[in-house]
Amino acid sequence: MQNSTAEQFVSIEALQRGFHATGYVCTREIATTLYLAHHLGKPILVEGPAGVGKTELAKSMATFTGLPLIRLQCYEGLDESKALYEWKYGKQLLYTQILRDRVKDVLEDSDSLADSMLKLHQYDDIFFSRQFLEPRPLLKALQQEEGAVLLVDEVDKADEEFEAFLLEVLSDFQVSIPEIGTVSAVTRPIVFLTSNNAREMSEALKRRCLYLYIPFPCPDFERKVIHTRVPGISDRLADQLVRYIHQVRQLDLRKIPSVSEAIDWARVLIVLHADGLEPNMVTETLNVFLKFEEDIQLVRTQVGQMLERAKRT
Amino acid sequence: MDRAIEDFVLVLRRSGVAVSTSETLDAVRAVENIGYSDREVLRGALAATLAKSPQNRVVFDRCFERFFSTGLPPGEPNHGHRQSGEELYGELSQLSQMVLNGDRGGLAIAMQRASREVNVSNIRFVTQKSAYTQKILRRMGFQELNRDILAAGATEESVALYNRLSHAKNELFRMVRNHVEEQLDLYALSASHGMLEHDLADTRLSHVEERDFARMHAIVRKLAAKLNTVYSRKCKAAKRGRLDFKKTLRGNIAHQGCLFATRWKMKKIDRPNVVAICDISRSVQTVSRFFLLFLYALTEMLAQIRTFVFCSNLVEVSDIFDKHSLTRAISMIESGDDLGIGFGLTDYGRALADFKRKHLAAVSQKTTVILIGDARNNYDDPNVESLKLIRQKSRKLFWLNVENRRKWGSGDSEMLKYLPCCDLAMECNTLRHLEKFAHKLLKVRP
Repeated sequence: MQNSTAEQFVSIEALQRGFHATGYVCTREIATTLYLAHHLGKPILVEGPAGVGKTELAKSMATFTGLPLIRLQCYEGLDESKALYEWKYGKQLLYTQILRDRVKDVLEDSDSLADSMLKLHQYDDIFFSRQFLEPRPLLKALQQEEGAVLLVDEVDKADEEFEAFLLEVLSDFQVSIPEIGTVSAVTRPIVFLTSNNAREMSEALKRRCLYLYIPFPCPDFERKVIHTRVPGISDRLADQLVRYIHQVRQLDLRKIPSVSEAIDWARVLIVLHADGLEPNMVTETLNVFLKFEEDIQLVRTQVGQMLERAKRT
Repeated sequence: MDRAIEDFVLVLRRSGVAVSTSETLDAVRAVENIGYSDREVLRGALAATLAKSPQNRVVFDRCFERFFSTGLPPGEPNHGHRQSGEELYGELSQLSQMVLNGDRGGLAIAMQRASREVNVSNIRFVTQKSAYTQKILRRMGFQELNRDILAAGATEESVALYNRLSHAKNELFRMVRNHVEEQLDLYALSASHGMLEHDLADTRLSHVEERDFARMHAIVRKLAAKLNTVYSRKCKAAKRGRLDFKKTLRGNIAHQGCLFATRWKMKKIDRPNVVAICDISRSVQTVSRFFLLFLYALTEMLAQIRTFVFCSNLVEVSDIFDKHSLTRAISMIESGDDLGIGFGLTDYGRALADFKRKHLAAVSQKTTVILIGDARNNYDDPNVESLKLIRQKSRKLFWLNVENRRKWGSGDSEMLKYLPCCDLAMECNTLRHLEKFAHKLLKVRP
C-alpha cells in the first residue's frame, strides 16, 4: 500500500511531508534525525518532557512506513522472559510425556545400555528448539520479514540490568538465546527508545543510539500541531489557545500542560462550540489540561489577565 | 577522515562533552549522508550523533555557532577590474589574483586550508596569536604577494596596481588575524572552561563566589545523578524470595514434570530512602548553601528523600524543595520566613530531640541518614542518646563535617562524642570531598 521505504527516505523534506500526511507535524530537526536513523541503521533515543509526542513519533513512523508497530512498555522488574523470549513450558511438558511413551518403541530392539544411549543421541534435540520458543516483543521485532517499528517505551523505568541487555539488540540487531544460539534480524527494525529522564541512561546505551530531544514547541509550531490534530478548529481559537497555554507554561506549576493536553483542551472547546476563549469557559475547563488541584487554584486567579494577553495581537 | 568533524569533536571534548570514537564515526557517516549544504540540517545531524543529553545540547549549540560560522566579512565581490598595469596581471601569484579579484570565497577556503595545515587547533594562549597569523599567511603565499607588490612598486605605470595590492594585503592580514582570534576563542576558551571545572572541585565551598554558583549547581547535579543511578540499582539482598514457578517448572522437566526441586526468585528491589538533616546556622552558612544545593539536586532525583534543616530547632523542608525553584527554595530556607525556625544559637541537642520526637517514624531499617554540620554546640548538652537511637533505627548514618578532622573535638565541637554513632564520618568542604563521600556511600552499602 505504501511506496518502497527507499523512496520514502529519499530526502528530509519528503520525510517531513510524509509525516505530515500521517498527522504528525515534525520539525526539521526531528526529520533529520529520522532520516539519519534510516540511513545509518541506528536506533533513536527520544527524550523530552511528558506529552510532547515521543510515543506518537514511533506510531507515526509505523503508519508512515506501513510496518507493524511492536511496543515494549518498560517498568521496574521487566526481565528478559517478558521482553525477549520465553519457553512454552506447557508444550515442553507434553513433549516429555509423549517422549516417555515413545522411548519404549525406539529402544525395544537394543540390548545394552550403551546401545540405547547411542540411539537416543541420534534423535534431534528439539526440546529447546524454536518450536517451543514464545517470542516476546524484542524477538518478535527481529523476526518480522518486512521489518518493523520497535518502540521501547519509557526505557528509564526499567532497571539498569535491562539496559545492559538491550545493548546487544541495539548495536547488532541480534539476540543470544543460550539454548539455541544467536538470532539475527531478518530485516533491521526501526527502533525508538523513549525516556522521560527519570534517570540518566547509561553512556553505553547512548553511544549506540542517535539522540533526539523534543522540547515544548514554539507557538507557531504548536498552532500547526493543533490544526493538524483538531481539524475543525478556527484560526482564532487555535491562536488564542496556544498563546494561553504558553503563558500557563511560564507559571510555577507542579505539572506543566503538555502538547497532548493542549490538543485535548482544543477538542473539548470544539465540542462546546467555542470560537474564542471566554473567561467562564476557560475556568470551567481548566481541569482538562491541569492535573493538580493546587495548579488549578493558581491558574484560576489569573484567568482574566492571561486571557487579555492571549487575545492581544 | 573529515577534518572539520574531527576538529569540531575536539572542541566539544574540550568543552566538557564526552564524545566517543564510535560517536565521531557516526557523525562522519551522518555528514556523508546529508552534506554541508544546509546549516540547520547539519546542526540536527551532528546534535543527534554527538550531543546526547539536554545539558550537552546547550554546550553543543554554543560550540556549533562558533565553529561553523563562515568567518566571511560581508562585502561585494568586485570581479575583474583590470586597470593600469594590466600587462603585469598575468604574472601575479595566485594569492595576489585572488585579493585583487575580491574572491572572498576562495580566500576563505585557502585560509581554512592553511590554518588546518599549521594546526591552529593547538592554540592555547594569547601570545601565540601573531605567530599563528604569520604561519597561516606564509602558507597562503604571503611572500609571493609581497614580491608582486615590490615588483609593481618598481615601475611608474603600475603604481595603481601597487596601491590596490598594498591595500588588499592589509585587508588580508586583518582577515587572517580575526580568524586566528576566533580560533583562540574557540579552542583556548573551551580548554580553560574544563580547567575551571577542575578547579572548582577543589575550591573550599565557603570560598566559591556567587558567579560560580550556577556552574557549581551543574556539577553538583551531575554528582547527584551519578549517585542516584548507582544507588538505585537492584541488589540481590534476599537469600530467598518468592517461589519462581516458571523456573521450578523448567528445572523439573528432567524429573518428568514432578515438581520436587523448588526455585526461588532471588531479586529484591532496593529503593534508596534517604533522610538528610542539615545545619544552617550562621557559622556554616556559606557552606550549608552548597549542601542545600546538593540536597535539592538529590530531591530532584530521589523519590524517597526527606530533608530537615535546623539551627536552634529543627524543621522539615522537603515540601519547599519539591515545590519551588532552586534559588527560591534556598533563599526561603536561608531567610527562614514562615518556617518557624529560630536562628539563635546552634543547638544540636534540641535538633536531635526534635527529630526524635516528631520525625523518628521517617527512619526505618531501610533508611540512610545523612547529617551535615560542624557539630559545634555552644557547650550545650549534645544529646548523644538521641543520635544513638536514630542510628539504631536506621540502616546507615553518615556525618559530613565541614571542618578539618584535626579540629574535631576542639573547643565546643562535640564531634568526638557523636563519632561512635556514625557508620561513616568525614570531612567535607570541597566538591571533591562530596564526590568521595558519594563513592563511599555506595561502597559501605551491604
